[in-house]
Amino acid sequence: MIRVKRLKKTYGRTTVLQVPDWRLEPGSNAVLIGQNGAGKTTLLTLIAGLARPTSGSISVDGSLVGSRGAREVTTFVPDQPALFDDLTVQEQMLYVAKLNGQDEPTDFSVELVERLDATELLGRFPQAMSKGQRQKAGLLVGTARPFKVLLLDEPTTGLDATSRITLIETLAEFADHGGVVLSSTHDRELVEGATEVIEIEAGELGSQRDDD
Amino acid sequence: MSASPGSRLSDDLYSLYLAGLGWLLLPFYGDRMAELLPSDFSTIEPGVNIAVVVAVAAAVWLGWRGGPLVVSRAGVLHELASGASRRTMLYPRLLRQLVARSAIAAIGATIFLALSTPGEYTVSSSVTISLVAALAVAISVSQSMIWYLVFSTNEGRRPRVVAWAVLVPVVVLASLLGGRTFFDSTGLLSLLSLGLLSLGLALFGLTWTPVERLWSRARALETLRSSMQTVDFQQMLLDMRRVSDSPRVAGPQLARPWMPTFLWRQIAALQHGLSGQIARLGLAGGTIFLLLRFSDPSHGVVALSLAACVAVIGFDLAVPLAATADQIPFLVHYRAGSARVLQGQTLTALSIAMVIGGLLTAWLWSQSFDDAAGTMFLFLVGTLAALMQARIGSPDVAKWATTVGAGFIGPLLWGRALSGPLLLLGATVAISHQYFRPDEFGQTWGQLTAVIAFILAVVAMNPLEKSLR
Repeated sequence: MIRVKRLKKTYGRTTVLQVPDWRLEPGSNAVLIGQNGAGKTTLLTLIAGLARPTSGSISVDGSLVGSRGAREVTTFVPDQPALFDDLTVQEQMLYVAKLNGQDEPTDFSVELVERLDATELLGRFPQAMSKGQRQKAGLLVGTARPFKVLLLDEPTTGLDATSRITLIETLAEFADHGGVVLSSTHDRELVEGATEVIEIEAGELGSQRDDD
Repeated sequence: MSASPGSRLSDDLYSLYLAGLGWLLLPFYGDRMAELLPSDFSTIEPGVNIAVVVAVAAAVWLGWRGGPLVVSRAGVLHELASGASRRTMLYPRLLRQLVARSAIAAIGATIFLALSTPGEYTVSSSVTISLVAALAVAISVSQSMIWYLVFSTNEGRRPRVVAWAVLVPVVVLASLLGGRTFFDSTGLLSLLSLGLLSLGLALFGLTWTPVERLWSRARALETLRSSMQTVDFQQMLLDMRRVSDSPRVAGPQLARPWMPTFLWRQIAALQHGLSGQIARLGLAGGTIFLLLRFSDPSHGVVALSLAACVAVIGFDLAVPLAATADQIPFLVHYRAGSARVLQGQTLTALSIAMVIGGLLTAWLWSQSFDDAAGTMFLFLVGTLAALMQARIGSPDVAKWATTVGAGFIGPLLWGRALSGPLLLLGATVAISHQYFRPDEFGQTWGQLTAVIAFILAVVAMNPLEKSLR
């Protein structure tokens, strides 16, 4: 589903990420681990099409990243949720769904509302939310559109214990149904629930552990 | 009906309301719209050509930074990185930018004409110069979009677009060098054609929007906003570097890429430091003195210059006051429990009024008190009206009232939002009928003037938002 070929990302003369040929197949629930600044977020934003590789290529579901085909199947939830200030969470979910040709938010996001006990957030604006609530809202809005690949940057940060476990279980179920989840995290429980653990060290993809 | 960012029904209705008022302004400049004939265009001062060129340059600079090229993180992530067409997502932003900038140019050009040729300008010349300025700015904004996209995309179609993009400024420059005026029918038609061509190119180029760059800039802008709220100038300077148009966000590029780092830091420190503030105040004060000493304040352009200098002083003095209430000058930031912020805005308005009042008092001993007072009064009315509009004209108010759940506040604030433009309109009518002209000030100071000033002051400064505590 995700294929990376000789990827390299540099800023000036500094190489921040270097990935040889690498792929994630449908059904993967993978996590990226590594120290701060190792390149986890950079890899996620490259796959999400929000950064351009210096060299090499990435394809998602057979389409080059950034193309409409790749965008249609990829969704990204950044560590700091990207939310529209002037819409309630429910309006944002509906808006995002409609942008992607759907009349209603996905079943995934609707179910996530229940699981994260976030019904009360639906009518609220982002500015009036706590960090954890914003994190939940980011997850809901990010998953309101159809997707096959779910990219998450530190998804459990700010969530309470119950919500964290619920989210981890939900991600695993999504992968079980053939989706691809790729998360960056420092959360041990999220790592333990993953099918693949990929370590990034100083911008290079290190050991890859398959827990299946 | 589903909502989308910035396109709530209430916002649209409010925009419609503002546009309607804008159209209502036109008849106040005369009832001879039908007499708009090419033969009238030759009465316009040749120097206005230069003003058009200046407007073009300013719009290029502005257009480079705003509109579809400044998208929020949410916009980049959910709109540009979605399955939707990027062009479809961005062209409304481009059109809004064009309309807004063109309207500002048209209004500015009309004011310039009215003030520089008091009693002589005609309806047709007013409409024509507005049209020319609007078209010129629309062309330049489109051009800046095209060039930005050309320089920031790796697509193979670049040479063809460059050729088209070059054609437009070449035609404009050739017209200028050939002595052709933009104010006859042929010139207007040329401008219109160039405008349509530029707009088409800009819309076409939107497909290549560099999403990765917009994402980086949107992240930097959010950080910048945060550091501005905490009045952390050091962080602001760093963030401003990241927000710059440089191709490498993490690289050593600066907001002014042609300037060495050490020099930029010195200038930035001066710009935001006490010495910079003193320099600005000194410059504005000196200019006021020179204008009063060596020019005729009853002349419209001089009066406008005086008003601009006082505006600089007023806003500079307002910064520390506004900062004490977590308010950033020139930005409106509503959020739940933002009563303190709004108090800051009131303080800002108050401080400006105090500065103006002080200056007026100082001029009591001046022989040209009527002229100076008339000028300052004109400025006071404009400032108060603008402040009120900035505070309460924003459609954010609807959202804000909803957030706090105070049902009775919504209609109250909306009433004020609706009254703001009406008061501006009233001020414009009064000005167009010479009530506020400095040279007429001594003769026409009347009840109408006093009433308008009183309403503006009360509405602009009364902190209705205290009810939200």
